[in-house]
Amino acid sequence: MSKHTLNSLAALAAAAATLPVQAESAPTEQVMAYRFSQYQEADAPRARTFTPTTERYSIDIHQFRYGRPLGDDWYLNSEFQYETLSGASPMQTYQNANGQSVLLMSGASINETRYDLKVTPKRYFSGALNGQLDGTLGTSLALSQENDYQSVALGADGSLELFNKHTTLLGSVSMSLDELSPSDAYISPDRQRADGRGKRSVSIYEGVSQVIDKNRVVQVGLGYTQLSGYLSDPYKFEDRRPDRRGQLTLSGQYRHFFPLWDGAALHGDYRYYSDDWGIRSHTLTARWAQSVSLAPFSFRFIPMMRYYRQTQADFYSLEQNPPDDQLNSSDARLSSYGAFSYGLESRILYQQWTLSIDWQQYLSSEDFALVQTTNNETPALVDYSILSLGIEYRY
Amino acid sequence: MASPCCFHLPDLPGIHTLAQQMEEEVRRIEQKYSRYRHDSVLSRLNEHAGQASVIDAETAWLLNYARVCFEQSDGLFDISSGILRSVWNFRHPALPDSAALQRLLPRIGLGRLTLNDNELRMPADMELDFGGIGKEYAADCAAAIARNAGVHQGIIDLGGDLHILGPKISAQGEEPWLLGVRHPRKPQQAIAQLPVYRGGMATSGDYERYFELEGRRYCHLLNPQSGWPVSHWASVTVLAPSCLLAGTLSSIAMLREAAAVDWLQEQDVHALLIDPALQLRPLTPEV
Repeated sequence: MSKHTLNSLAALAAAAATLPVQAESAPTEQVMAYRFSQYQEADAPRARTFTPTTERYSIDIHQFRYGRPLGDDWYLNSEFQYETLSGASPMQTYQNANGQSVLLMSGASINETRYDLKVTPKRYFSGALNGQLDGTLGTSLALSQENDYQSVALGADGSLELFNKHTTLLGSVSMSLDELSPSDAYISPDRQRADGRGKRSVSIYEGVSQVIDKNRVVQVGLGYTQLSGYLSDPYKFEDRRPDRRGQLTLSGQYRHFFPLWDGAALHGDYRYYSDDWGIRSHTLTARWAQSVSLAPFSFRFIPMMRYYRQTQADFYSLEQNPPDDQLNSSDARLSSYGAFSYGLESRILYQQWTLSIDWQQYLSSEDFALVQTTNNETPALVDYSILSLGIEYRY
Repeated sequence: MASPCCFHLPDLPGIHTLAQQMEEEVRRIEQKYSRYRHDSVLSRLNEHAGQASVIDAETAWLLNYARVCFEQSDGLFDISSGILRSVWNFRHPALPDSAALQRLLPRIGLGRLTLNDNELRMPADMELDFGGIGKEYAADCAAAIARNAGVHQGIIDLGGDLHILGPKISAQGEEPWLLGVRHPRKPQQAIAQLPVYRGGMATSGDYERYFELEGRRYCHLLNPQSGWPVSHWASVTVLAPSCLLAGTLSSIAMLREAAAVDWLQEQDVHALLIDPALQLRPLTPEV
C-alpha cells in the first residue's frame, strides 16, 4: 500500500475534515428576533427651500421575526414590521429666474404609521427522488397597510442544485397589487384623481450560482419587473408619470473566502439597471466579512462601501408650470445623481443569542454622478443615516 | 441501534427539542446505512454491485473516508470484509470450514471499487458494511447539531462510542469528565478511568462478539487478509478529535496487533491498550 503515510491520523483527519457538500436542508431551529432601526434624513438646505420648513423624514422601525420548522421539510418564517414616520417631504423642485433650484416642502409635518406582515413557508427537497433532487420551493404572502396605501404581494421562489451541488439555479416570480387612498384628498385634484387607483407589479428573476472552488462562489442574475397603473406621486406638484414602467436588472455577485483569523470573505457586487423611463444605473458594492472568536463569544464585523449613479428619466424637469398634457416630474429620485454609502455591521454571538449593531451613512448629490454631471441643482437629494439594534434567539 | 445510546446534556431551555433533533439525526444515519433494512442506501448499493450506483454527497464522503482508512491501515480496515460473517457465527463455538473461508477472501478488498463524487462502482461479488464507521459518524453528527445550537457541554454516548462536547463546568471552573474504560472480561465494570475534556473516545474490544473454544478466544474482529480473528489485544481505547477518528484508530490498532503500539505512537494520540492478561499499556503523545 504505497499511499500509507507515517501520520495516519493526519490523513484520516484530513479525509474527515472535508465536510460533505450538504444540500440546503431545512433549518431545524426556531428563531425569535427583534430589531429596532432609526432612519434619519438630514435637513434640506434652507438657502434653497421656499418656506422655512427644512425638516425631512425620521422613521422608527420595529421588526419582529419568528421562524420555525414544520415537520421535517418545511420551514415557516414570519415577520411583522411596525413603523412610525414623521417629518416633511419635497412637493416640487423648480428652477427660478436665476437658474437656482427652489425646493417646495410639504408644509405640515406628516405623521404616519405603517404595518407590514410577511409569511414565507418554504419546502426543502434534500435528496428527494432517491437522492437525485436537491432544492427548495417557497412562497410568500405580504400585506402592507398605511392610512393612505394598501398592498398585497404574492411570490414564489425556487432553487435547484445541480452538478454535485456546485451549481444552483435560482428563480422567482412575484406580483403585487397596491391601492392608493391619499389623505386629505380635498386639498388637490391630483390627490382626488389618485384616490382609489391601483398599481400592479409583476417581477421575475432568474439566476445561477456557481462554486468555482472551495473559496470562490459567483452568482449572476437577470431580473425584469413590469409596473402598471397609477405610478405618479399624488403628493407632488406637476407629477405626471407614464402608467407603465418596465425595469431590467443584471446583477453579478462574487464571494471570495479567506482563511484569515477565524474566517473572512470579500463580497463584490455589481448591478446594472435600465428602465423604459430612460433611467440607467450602476451600483458597485464591496464588503469585507470578518469572523473573530474569543471564547465564549464570537464576533462578525462587516464594513461596507457602495457607489451608485443614475441618469435622469426622460420626463424629469425643473419647469415650474409645465403644460398639463405633458409627462413631468421633479422627483429627485428621477434626476441624474450619484450616491456614496458606507457602513459597518457587527454581530456578537453567545450561545443561542446574537446581538447586532448596524450603522450606515448615505450621501447623495448631483455632482456624485462623477461623469456627465448635470448643471441643474437638485436640493431634494437627501443624505441619511440608519442605526439598527437587534437581538436574536435560536432554540 | 442495537446498543444503548444516551445523551448527557446540560439542563438548558429547549434542550429536549435539541435532544430530539440529535436522536432523529442518529436514527436517520442508522436507517440510511443499516444492513438490516432492505430499503437503506447501503442495501441499495449492495444490490447494485456490479453496476454503477448514483450516491449522494454524504455517502460519497463516508465511502471516501472508508477508503482512506483502508489505505492508512495497509488494507486491514476494510468495510468489504463483512461477508466473513457468513462463515464466522459467533453464537456457536465452532471454527469455520477452511475451504468456505478461502473462497470468500478474494471477494474482499476495498481497493477494487471506483468512487467519485456521485458515483460508485463496485465488483458484483463485493458487499459493503458501514458497521465500523456508521455509529461513530452518527455521534459526530449529533454533536455537530448540539454545537450549532450553542451547547458545548455534555456527552453523546452511542453504545460506548463517545463524543464529548466539552468539559464539565463546576464551581472550580472547567473539569474533565472521568470516563470509564470497560473491563474486557467484566463488561459491567470499568478497568480504568480517562480524563477527557472534549472530542471523541472509542474502544474496540474482543468482548463484543466472540466464542471460546479449547481455551482460545475467537472475537469478531477479523483480519481481512487471513479471514481469522485478531488476538493480540483485549481492547484498545483511543482519544481523538472526533468519535469517527477515535473509532477507526482503535479498530486499526486492534487489527495491527503487535504493531499497534508503535503505530499509535506515530499518531500522537492518547490511548489505552489492554492485553489478554489484562496488563494496561497507556500511551500519551510525545510533547
